[in-house]
Order: sequence, then C-alpha cells, then structure tokens
Amino acid sequence: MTNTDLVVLAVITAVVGLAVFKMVRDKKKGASGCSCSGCPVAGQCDSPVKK
Amino acid sequence: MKIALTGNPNSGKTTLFNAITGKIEHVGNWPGVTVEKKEGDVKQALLSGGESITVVDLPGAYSLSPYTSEESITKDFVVNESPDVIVNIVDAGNISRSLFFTTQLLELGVPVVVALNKSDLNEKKGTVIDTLLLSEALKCPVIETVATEGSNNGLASLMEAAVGVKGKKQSAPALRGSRKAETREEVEAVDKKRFALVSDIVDQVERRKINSSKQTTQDKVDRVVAHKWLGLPIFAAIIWVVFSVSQSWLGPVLADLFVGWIDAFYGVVEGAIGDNVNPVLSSLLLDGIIGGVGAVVGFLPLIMVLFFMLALLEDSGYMARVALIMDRFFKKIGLSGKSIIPMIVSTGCAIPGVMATRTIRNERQRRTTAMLAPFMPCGAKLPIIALFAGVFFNDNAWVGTSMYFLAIAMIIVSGLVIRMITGDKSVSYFIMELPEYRFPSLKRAAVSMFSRAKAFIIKAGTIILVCNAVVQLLQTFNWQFQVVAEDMPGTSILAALASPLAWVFIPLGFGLWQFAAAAITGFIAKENVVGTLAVTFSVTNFIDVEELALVGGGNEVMGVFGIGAVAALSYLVFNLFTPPCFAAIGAMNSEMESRKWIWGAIGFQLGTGYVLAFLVYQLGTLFTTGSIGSGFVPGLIAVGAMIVSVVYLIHKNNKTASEAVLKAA
Repeated sequence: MTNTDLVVLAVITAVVGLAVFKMVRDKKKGASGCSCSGCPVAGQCDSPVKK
Repeated sequence: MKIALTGNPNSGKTTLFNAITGKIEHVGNWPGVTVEKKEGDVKQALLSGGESITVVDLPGAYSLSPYTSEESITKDFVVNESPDVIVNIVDAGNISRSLFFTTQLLELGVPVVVALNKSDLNEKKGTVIDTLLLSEALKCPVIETVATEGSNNGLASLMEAAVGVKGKKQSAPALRGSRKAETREEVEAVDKKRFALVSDIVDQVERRKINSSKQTTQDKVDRVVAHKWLGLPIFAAIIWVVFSVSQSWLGPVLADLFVGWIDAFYGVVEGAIGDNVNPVLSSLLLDGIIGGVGAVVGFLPLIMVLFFMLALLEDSGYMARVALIMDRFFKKIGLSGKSIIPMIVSTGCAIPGVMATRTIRNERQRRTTAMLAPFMPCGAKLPIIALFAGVFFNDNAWVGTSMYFLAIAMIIVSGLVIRMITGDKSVSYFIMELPEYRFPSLKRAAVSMFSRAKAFIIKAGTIILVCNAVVQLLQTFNWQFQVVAEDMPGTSILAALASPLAWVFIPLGFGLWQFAAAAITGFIAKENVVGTLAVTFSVTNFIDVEELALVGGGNEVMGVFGIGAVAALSYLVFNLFTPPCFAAIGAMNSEMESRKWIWGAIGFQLGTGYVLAFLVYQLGTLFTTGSIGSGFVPGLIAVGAMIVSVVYLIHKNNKTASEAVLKAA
C-alpha cells in the first residue's frame, strides 16, 4: 500500500465515519433514522407521538 | 419562566414562535400546520430583564373541550403542566371567534396575555379594535402584534407584558356555572352564555368598516379559484407552471451551474490523488462517494426552486382552497377535505404529512389518509422525477405535473378500494376556515426553501453517502472478495443480491439488476435511487454542463441505462407508488397503531406500485410498438393474483357485515 493509498483510505474512513457518527448521534437524541435533523419539521418527527 | 403559546388554528402561533425564538419551524397559511408542541428560548433581544424564557408552541385549538388529538395536546399542556404565563394569540381580524377560547383560558387561573396578531390587516380593512377596553373586559393585558414584521411588531412589548403578569392571579369575566358544568346539557348551556359574553365584548370593542354581507374581492376570486368545475383545471395549470419553472426553465440552468462546481471538485480530487492510487480506493472515493452524492445533490437547485414556489402558494392562502376543491372528490371515497392537508404536507416530506393525519377524528379515515399520503411526490422523490424527465422526456414539465395528478387520482381510487375493504360507510363533513389571501412573503418562502435545502444536504452527506459507499463496495467485489473485472459487473455481490428481484421486474420493463438494486436502496431514502443508478451505471453526472440542461433523449445516459422511455416511465411510477422510505413507514406505524393496518398498507402500496408500473409498461409498449412488452404473461398472473386478493378481502368484509346484520336481526 502506497502513501497515497493510506491518505485516500484515511479520507474515506473519516468521511464515512463522520456520516455514521452523525446518524448515530441523531438516533440517540431520539431523532428519526432518516437524518432529518436539519428539516424544518424535524421537531414534529422527533417528538414522541402523543394521542 | 415558561410561556405557552395558544390560540385558534391559523392565528399565527408558529409565525410568532419563530419570530420570538429565531427558529424556522414550518408555517403555512392554513389551519392544522402544527400538530405537536415545540419548544424554544426567547431571543435575548426581546428581553429587557435577564430572565430566560422558554416558549412552547402548541397546536391550534378552538376550545378546551378537545375534538381532535392535537387539541388534547394543547389542553393537557395548559391544564397539567402549569405554564407561568399563557400567551393567547388572537387573530385580530376574527376576534368574535377567537375570544371563546380566550375566556376558557382565563378561567384556568394562569396569567394570560392576549396577543392581538395580524393587526396590520385590520388597519388595511379599516377595522378598529379598542385594545384598552378589550383588556378591561378580559381582565388581562392585550398587545397588538404583527409577527410577520421584522420591526415594530409588538413582540418586545408582548414579552414585557408576559414577564409583568408572571405570578399574578388571573381573574375571568363572570360566567355562571362554567366551573361546575359536567354533563353535555350543562356544557352546552355554558357555551351559549359564553358566546353571548363574547358577542357583548366584540360589540363594545370592535368597529368594522366592511359590511360582511357584501361580496369582497376575495369572495370574487374564490368564486373562480374554488369553483366546482373551474377549480381543478386551475389547480392543474398552477402545478404545471410550478413544475415548468422548477424542472424545465429556471431549475436546470441553476442545476447546471451547481453541477459545474461538483464536477470541478471531482476534478480537483481526481488530480490530487493522481494515477498511483489503488483503483478500488479511487473508485470508492470518486465514483461511490463524490459521484454518487454529487448525482443526488446536483438536483438540489431544481428542488429548491420547486419548494420556493410551493411555499409561495402555501403562504398566499391558495392551498387551503385546494383542500376545498378536493373535498368534493374525497367525500365520495369516504374521506374529506381534511385528508388533503396531510397530502399537501407530504409534498415536502411524507413523515410530517403522515403525522398531520392526527387532526382527523375518524379512525378509518385517519389510517387511510396515513396510508395514501406517501403517494404524493415528496422532496426525496423529486430527483428521480427530474432525472427521468431529463434523460427520457427532454425536461418536459408534464412529467412532474402528471406524476402529481396521477398521485391524486391513485389516492382517490385507492381510498375507494380501502373503503370497500373496510366496509366503513361513514361520511365526514369538512369545515375549514379559509384564510385570507395575502401577497406571499418572499422572505418566508426563501427561509422555507433554504431550510429544506439544508435538510436535503444533511441527508445527502449522511445516509445517502453511506449507502453509496456500501453500494460501490458491493459492486466492486464478488463473493470471494476478489475485485470484479471491469467487463463483468454482473458477478459482483450487489448484482448477485439484486438479480433475483430483477426477474420480478421483467414484466415492468426494467429487469436489470441495477434498477432492482436502486429500487431496494430507495427504501432507505428515495434519493438513493438516483445515487445507486449513478454508481451502478458509473454515470457521475446527470446534468449536461455544455448543453446547460439536464441530459436529454438520445443522450449517452439513456444508452447506458439500456431501457426506453416507456420502461423509464414505468420505473418512475414504480418508485413513486411503492412504499415510502423506512422512516415514513415508521411514522405510518405510529399513526395507525395497528399491525394489521401497517402490513396491509405496505402490501397495498407494493401492489399499487407493481400494478401501475405493469400497466404503464405493457400498455405503453402496445401503443408505441403495436405489441405487448416482455414478461406479459407472468406479470398478468402476478397482477391478477393481487386483484383477486383485493376482491377476496372486499367479499370477506361484505360477508362478515351481512352475518353481523343477520345476527343482530
């Protein structure tokens, strides 16, 4: 494996890792799994359903 | 300190909430936009003291006797969670209706401040409200507000008044028997007294210039726009204009500019890593991540233009008229105009659309609406529409428009079928206060557009990025974890997983494993369909930079896809009408509260998507070539089996109903 390979692998790992980290963090916060934390109606989706 | 924002539907609570907290919760110029409480902190600029204030925006309610579940949220919060102050938002243009709820709030004993919102509209109409007299009559402060204005909006005074009444005892106008009323007769008797009291107060404090018996300009416009026969064609024309501007004129030009940047970024990364990098890593980064995400994000400008125009329509008050126009058709299938609101919300995202069904009291109607609302083309489905309209139909606006109206038609047909299956013949009547037309705010539309764009980018940078990376890896290796030869992509793990499903799609015209793989990843997020097609067909750019338009018919992408226009339309229909993403299915599950209904809904949606795609492909092929398409007989058997299942369910229900009648007799 060349140095360039290592750098590219590190970049891919970092990008995918960050994406997964954000999804897991959103999920832990109780947000829906669709990563809609930036959605203008996320407040509705994230709240527990009340009847 | 905690403040509860309460008021009638469409009195401007969420607009006021956004203005005092700086949040960008979705607002709409129709009743029923908010169905769940939301919290936020008041901006420091509005506070003179050091105290921090939390505001809770509650769904609209007409009274404290709940009729729908979102009204009970309001009642539960106000009665059980004891906010320090209640800010009651009253529509200044309609105080006679709003004050009924106000007088009930005053009786709770919690300090109340009345925000006389939309006061600017009263000035235009020449209506004058004596706020001092109103304050005396209600025994609480009354502040004029214009939540839509950036300055001189009365919001600082409102917060000051709220802080001022904290801890004070709230008295209410005397209304004998209101506290002890328990039986229906007692409650009705008190309600009559309450209406009389409100009428007295309004007579004292309000002076109107407009004679309400005279026809206003608004009434004249409604006579045309909401006309029994003209309403629907006008709606179709408006939607056609929206899709024309977003998908054919302005959207592609902006998208091309945007894709130019993505291309440039791709080039920079490609140049930076050079030729000496491992080809697996190179293709994972360039084709899987940058190419796959870029293919989806490339459609962002089209989506932004569409959302901007839909936001303008919402803000103008027109969409409330659409509910009225559709009520006539919906009533015939056992639904009502109330069901159209979740469907309009679903054009943004199916999840809040499904959640908006909780304003519907009738259980069967609520569940049916939750099942059918995801048929509307949501924001995530728009890149698929834009891609296929661009590649196969020369960016024609009729593709998006027809998908919109096909969705409405399918909702009506499906609603009828579900009504026959359930056997519920109940009829609902739809009463909705039509909001006044107003010139739509460009600022509000821009805020709505950018907040949706932000959500789209976050989604592309998380779940779509991860999915594309996984798809790229599965496509790169075979089951022995050896790199697949470039000319043998069919030996990859992805092809092996998707191929069995591809057989099922032969009667629909797209029996290639790449389309099957894209349809599967579409269940995670619908945008993935575009991303997966980009990765599996190794097409990183669906927008032609040199032509300044989406790639058109006869283009190389069409050749790479290996299907014709009819099969493309079939694939588009299949993706639009099969079940939505998993998150939306989760929302459906929450709202339906029935295992039988949720599995029935998934089965019904799968069947609908399959049958429609089959009809589009086979009939389309028959009309264009004079012969039926491939896989007709097995497809017909599958479609026949689905239809027989539905007929069996209808028959079973009728039999059960007849037996119940006989038993009762």
